[in-house]
Amino acid sequence: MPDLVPNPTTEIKRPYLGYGLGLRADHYEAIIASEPDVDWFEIISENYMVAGGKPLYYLDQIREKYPIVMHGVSLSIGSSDPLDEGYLKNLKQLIDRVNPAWVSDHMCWTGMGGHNLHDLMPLPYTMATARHVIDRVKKTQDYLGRQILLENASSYLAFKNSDMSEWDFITEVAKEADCLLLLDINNIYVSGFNHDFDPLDYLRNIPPERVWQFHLAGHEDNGDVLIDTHDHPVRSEVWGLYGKACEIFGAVSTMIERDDNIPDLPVLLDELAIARKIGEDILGRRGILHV
Amino acid sequence: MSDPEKSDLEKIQRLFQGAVMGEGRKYLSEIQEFLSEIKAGGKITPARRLHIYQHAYKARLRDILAEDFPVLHSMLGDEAFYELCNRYIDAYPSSHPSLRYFGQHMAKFVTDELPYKDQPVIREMVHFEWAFHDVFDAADHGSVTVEAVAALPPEVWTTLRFEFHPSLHISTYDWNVPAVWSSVQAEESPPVLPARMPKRAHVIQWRYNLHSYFRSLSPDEARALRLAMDKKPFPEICESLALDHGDRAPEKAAGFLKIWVVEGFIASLLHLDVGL
Repeated sequence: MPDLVPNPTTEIKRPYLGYGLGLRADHYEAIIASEPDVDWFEIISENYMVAGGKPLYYLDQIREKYPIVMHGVSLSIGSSDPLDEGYLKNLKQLIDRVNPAWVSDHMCWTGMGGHNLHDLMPLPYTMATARHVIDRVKKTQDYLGRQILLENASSYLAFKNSDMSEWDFITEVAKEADCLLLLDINNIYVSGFNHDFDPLDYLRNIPPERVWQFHLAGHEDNGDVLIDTHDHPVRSEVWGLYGKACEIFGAVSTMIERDDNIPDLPVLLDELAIARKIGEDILGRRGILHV
Repeated sequence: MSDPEKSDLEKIQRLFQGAVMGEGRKYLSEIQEFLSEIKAGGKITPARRLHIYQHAYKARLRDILAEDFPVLHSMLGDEAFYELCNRYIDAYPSSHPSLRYFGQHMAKFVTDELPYKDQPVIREMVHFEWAFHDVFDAADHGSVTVEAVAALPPEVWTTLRFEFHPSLHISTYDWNVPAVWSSVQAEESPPVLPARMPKRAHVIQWRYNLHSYFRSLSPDEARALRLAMDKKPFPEICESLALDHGDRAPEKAAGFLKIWVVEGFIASLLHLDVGL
C-alpha cells in the first residue's frame, strides 16, 4: 500500500496515485510497447482469476512498470446469500500475486440463491440493510486482512421501503465497517438524474477521509433516463461534476473506466489528459501539490 | 441483522432477481409483486425501471456467448443464435462469479435440446470453440527443448514418459468443424460450409508462447499421443505403431516426439533415475 500523503486542503491523509486507466486486454501490447504516461492501472479482479495464459502474463509485465489497483464485480456485499468463501479465497490469492495498492468492489448485490446476475443491483437503503452490509464488510476485511473500497453503483430504480439517501447509506456503512469509498462521479450523475437528486448533495455529504478513488466514465442519454454504459467518452456534465469533486475532496486518485466500444489507447490517454488538466488546475489553485 | 430483517432483504432480492431473470417467461407473480416494491414517481414508470435491468441481464449474457462462440453465431445467423442464447440463459443461469464460465454448459445444452441435438455439427462447433476458451487461460508451464530430449542417455528411454502442457486438448470430429472455423475466422467469402467428413478427424488444440493453435492428427499420431498423454512409457508408444509401421515404429515414434517437442506439447520428461 502506498504511503499516506497529506492533503493540505482538508488535512486528510490518503494515498494518492495520480491519473490512471482501467487495464483492458485490447491495450496490453500497446502499453508494453509504448509505456504510456499513465500513473497507474486498475484491473477487473475476476478477469485474472484464471490459471494462466495471456491475462496473467500481461498483468505481470505491466505491474512491473505501473502501480495496480484491483476492482471486483462479484463480491456481492449486499446479497442475502452467505459470503462466497471460494470467491474470497480466489480474491486473496490474486491480491497476494498482484500486491495492489488497494482493492475495491461495489455497494450492491449481484445475485442470490446461488445465481449471479452479473449486474450491480441496488439495495434498499435502510438501517437494517446497512447493518447487514456492515457485518459482511467487516468479515471480508478480516478475511483479506485489509480495508476495502466500495463503489457507488448507478441505479435505475429505488425501493419504497428505503428511508435513507444513498449517500447516508454508504456513509453509514463506511464509518461503521471502517471501510473506504470509491466514488464513481459518472454514477452519481446518472443516479442523480434517474432519481431526481442533486449530485452536489451527494458529494457534500460523503466523509472525505473515506474517499480514496474516483471513477470517470461515459453514459447513454435516453432523454428521460440515463444508462451507465461505460461505452462513451465522459460527458461534459460529468467533467463539471468531477471539477466540483476535486474542490470538495482534494487530491483523489482518478481514472477513466471504459468497458465497451473500447477505443485505441491514445484516445483514452487524451481523455485522461482532460481529467489531469481539470484536477491540476483546481488543486494547483488551492496549493495542493501532486505527488 | 436480525432474522426478520434478513428475510425482508432476502424477499426483496428474490422478487427482484425473479423479475429480472423471468422476463416474458415465468415468475409473473414475482414481477407483479416486485413492481409494487419500486418507488413510484419520477420521469419513468416502475415497469420501465425494471425493464432496464431485465434487458441488461439478457443482453450482457448474450454478448458473452457471442464472444465465446463467434463461429457458431456465424453458422446459425443472428436470429437463430439470439434464440439459442435466450433459451440457454433460461436453462443455465449463471452461478459463477466470473462470466468466463457462463458458456460452460452449452455443449450439454445443444446435446439435449431440440432442434440443436438433431444437428451434430452444432455440438461439435460448440465443443471446438469452448476448447479454445480453455486453452486460452489454462495453467502455464514451460516446454522441454529438442536439445534436452537429444541429451537423454539411451538407458532412460525404456522408462521415458511425458508430462504434457496443461492446455493440450485432443478431440475427434465427424464434421469439418476446424475448416469452417478457420474459414469464418479468416472472413472468407463465401465461408466453407459445414459438411460431414468421409473419415473421423482427430484434432489437437493447445497454447504455445501465449498463442492458441490447432491442427489435425493422423490416426497413428493420435493413437500415440493419447498413449503418451496417459503417461505410457515410450516403448509402449512404439509398440502401438508397430502394426502400421513394423520395424520402423521406433523411428516413427521418435519423429512424432520431435514434432510434439517442437510444437511445445511436452512440459517435462519423466523417467526412472539411472544415476545421471
